Amino acid sequence: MAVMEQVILNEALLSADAKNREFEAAVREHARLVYRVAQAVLRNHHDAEDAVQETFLRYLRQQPKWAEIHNLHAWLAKTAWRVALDRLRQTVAVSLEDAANVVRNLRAGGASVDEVAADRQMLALVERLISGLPKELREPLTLSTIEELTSAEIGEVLGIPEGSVRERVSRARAMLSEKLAALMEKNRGR
Amino acid sequence: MDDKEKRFVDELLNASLRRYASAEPRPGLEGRVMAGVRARYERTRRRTVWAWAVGMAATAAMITLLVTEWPRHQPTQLPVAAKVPANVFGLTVAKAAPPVQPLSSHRPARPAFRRRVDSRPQQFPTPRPLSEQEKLLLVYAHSLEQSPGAAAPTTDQDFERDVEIPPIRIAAIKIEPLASTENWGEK
Repeated sequence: MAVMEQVILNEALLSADAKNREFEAAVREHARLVYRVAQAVLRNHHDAEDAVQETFLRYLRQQPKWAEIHNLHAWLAKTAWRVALDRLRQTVAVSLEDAANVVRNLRAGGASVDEVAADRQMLALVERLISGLPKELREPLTLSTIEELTSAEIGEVLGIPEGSVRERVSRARAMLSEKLAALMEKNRGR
Repeated sequence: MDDKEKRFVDELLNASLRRYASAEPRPGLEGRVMAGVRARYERTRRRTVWAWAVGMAATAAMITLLVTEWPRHQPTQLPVAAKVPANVFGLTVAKAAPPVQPLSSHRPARPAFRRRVDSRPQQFPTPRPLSEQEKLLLVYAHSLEQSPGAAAPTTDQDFERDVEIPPIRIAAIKIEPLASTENWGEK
């Protein structure tokens, strides 16, 4: 009887240990992706890290159903997306004209495209432009900026077909391009 | 806007979107996540265990309270056998049984629960005054007891003893003569 109990206890401990290792492996492999999804939505380092913890906590609570998760990559991206949307706060408004003016000055100073893109004002400008897009275009575009996610996985996160993802991302980019060009043109006219 | 400007805008947009989600987490993200998640998970689990423990204790206390304090009907000793006359022919009449006191509870009566009133009679059958016939029978029985010679037969021999029967006297029969039958044929 005591031997049986010991065997059951050992099996339980081994199982718990295996689950623990599985969880650690998931964190090591996917933490960066989860962080990027959260960061793409929240645009804030601390909020993004909190969202990462919340995402993996939800994953840990789903322990009895881990076998049902076929694509962990997509599952975590989807969970992080929802967590981040729940935590989303209104970002500080940036003046589009001011940001465009800074970009214009950088270009006039001979800065390359990458140098202009790396500027904080340019990033703020892009964030403002993206946040101004309609939701059905903004969401696929935001997720498409995360290089680890395929179109199929983005479709899984948003619950839309892969073809729709491509089409919406294309439309969103076209709208952004138009707005950015208009801003640049406006500033050049001043 | 000329083509050069258009190309610049497109390239700038592509570069900006690449940078949009390329933010790298601070070093040690995995360790922080593991520590944070485990701490929160343990906290939640402990809270759940406590909630279960408190719930179970409350349930057990409630059950105990119900079992011990629920108003129950106290069993009473029915004085049936004691109240039946022991010997009917001996004509001893049972005295009315003293009223039976219900068993007092060890606990003080609590106003929260109303004890049910036991409407059943404490003696069975219910004592009632003697009827006229019963009183007469009682008087007769006493008179028999006081005159042993006239006691009622109580054994079979009393019933089988020869009884002297005086001779029966029959009065003489007088038959009066019938009236004349001459007129019969005329009728």
